[in-house]
Amino acid sequence: MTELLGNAWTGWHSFTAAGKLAALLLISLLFLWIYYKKVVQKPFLVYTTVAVACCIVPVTAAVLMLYQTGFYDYEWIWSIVPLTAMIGFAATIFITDVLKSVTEGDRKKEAAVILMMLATLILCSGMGTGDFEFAENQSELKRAEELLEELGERMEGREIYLWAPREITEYARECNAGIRVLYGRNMWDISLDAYAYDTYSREMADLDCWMRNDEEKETLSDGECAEIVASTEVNCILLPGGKSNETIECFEEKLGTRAEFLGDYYLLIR
Amino acid sequence: MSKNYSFSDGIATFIILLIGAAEAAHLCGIFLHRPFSECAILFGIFAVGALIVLIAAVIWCRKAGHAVCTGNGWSRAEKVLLTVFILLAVVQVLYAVMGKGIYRRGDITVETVGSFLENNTLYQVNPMTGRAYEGGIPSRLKILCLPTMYASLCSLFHVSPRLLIWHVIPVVTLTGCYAAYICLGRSLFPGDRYRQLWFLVIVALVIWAGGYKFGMDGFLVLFAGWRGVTLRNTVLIPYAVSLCIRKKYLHAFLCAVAEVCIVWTLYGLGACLIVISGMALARFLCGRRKNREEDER
Repeated sequence: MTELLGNAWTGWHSFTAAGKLAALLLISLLFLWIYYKKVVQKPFLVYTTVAVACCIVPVTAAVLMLYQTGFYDYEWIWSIVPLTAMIGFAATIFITDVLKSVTEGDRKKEAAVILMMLATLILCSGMGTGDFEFAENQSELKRAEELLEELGERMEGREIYLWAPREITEYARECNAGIRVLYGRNMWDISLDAYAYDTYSREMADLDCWMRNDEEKETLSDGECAEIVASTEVNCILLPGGKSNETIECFEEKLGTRAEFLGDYYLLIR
Repeated sequence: MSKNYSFSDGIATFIILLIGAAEAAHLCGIFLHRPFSECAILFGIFAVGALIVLIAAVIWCRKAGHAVCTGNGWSRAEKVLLTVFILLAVVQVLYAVMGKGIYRRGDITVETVGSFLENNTLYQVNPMTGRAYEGGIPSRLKILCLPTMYASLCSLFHVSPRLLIWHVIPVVTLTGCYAAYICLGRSLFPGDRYRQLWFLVIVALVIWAGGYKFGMDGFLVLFAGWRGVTLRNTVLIPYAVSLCIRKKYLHAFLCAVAEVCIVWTLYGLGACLIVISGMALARFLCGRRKNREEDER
């Protein structure tokens, strides 16, 4: 429970760190409570206010997180708050009712206030500061797709069981569902572990470290690594072009095959 | 328009019925161990059935006088607002079609759909590796129907999973989202088209503005339109709120059922149910207070 409370407390901070639509929601609620008599749909206002309070107060937020069994992150409890609808509701009442009466029909004043509201909304939107890496994903996907297509041609219709660096494995199953991989992208995106009870052995994690040249965690030598791969059914191995000649020769020897180039990678087919 | 239902209700309800059709086909596949190809055919039949039911309901509503009337002529301000709203919505649709922002983290829908199509079975291989499951998958996850719906659509229309899931489905979700908000606008400002249009314009702007963080409505609908949580947050919940305002609780309950079919709520009962219960309770409390005030007078 203490951990849940802690998550609820830090969750609110991270929820409001990037953009400020939550702040805009609070302003909307405040405005509607001040102009309570003008609000026709009072149950909607009452419900949203209570839901927002429950999401902000750590104790009730922790209870809501318990309701979703603690599996989902804090931000998902905000699903019960009709944030977009409430901001729209409040802004509509402000523009069509309050603003008209305050400006007494002066179009220029009205337009100026509406422009200021638009500017506030843009400022609350985070101004594109989110950490998305969409563009990088697109170009990586394209590169992987081209490489996998060429790999399919080289395999001449045989089934592919692949061991490759992360940037290829990440997209392999999306590009071609017929490809099997030694380990999937849940190796590095742990949120995907929830989709299956399957787990990877320590050896698989070590293979991934070796592939990435992760010097802090790497425990396998080239020979050990090649032996593990040889003991599996993997028939298609892509190694980064940066691997040394000795490493490639070691793999050639253990797997009984010759390496060839495929793009920036060494390709070994068994 | 009518006093109760509109064309937008038809779109939102059709999405709920499609989810129902997909769930029925999916459960047949899971519990009767039928191959995926049979599930796809079943889904097609159920979906056509759902469409027929919906059309029949629309015709009945019109005849019974439950459909919304078109109203008087449009003022200049309303025309301007409508144009702005359409522009904003069309730009969002184009953005979704182009698929420039695809948020894949924590999501394996494309792999799962690809596995169904490749192996002609449901959940027999691990979508992340393509190998048979060793430990299996959680039962609560196994009954979610969206992958079967998408795979069936891929199979029926011969399109690739990536094209359908990343480029087509987000457009359907956006359409459902605005249908739900149109219904909500009508419920919040009944009979006041000027305010309804303002509401829609502001909602469209807030959706653009909300694209900064995973979990916000804008982000979900623009960058992850195929996910169950997106359908829940941007279609089912706004639609459920609009139905609650119109006191159509039975219809609103369908949204909660649809959520159970598409979102992994684990052992919780879902967000829609909290929203519906909360709105009903709020209405009850507000009604009591109003009665008390009238009595005092």
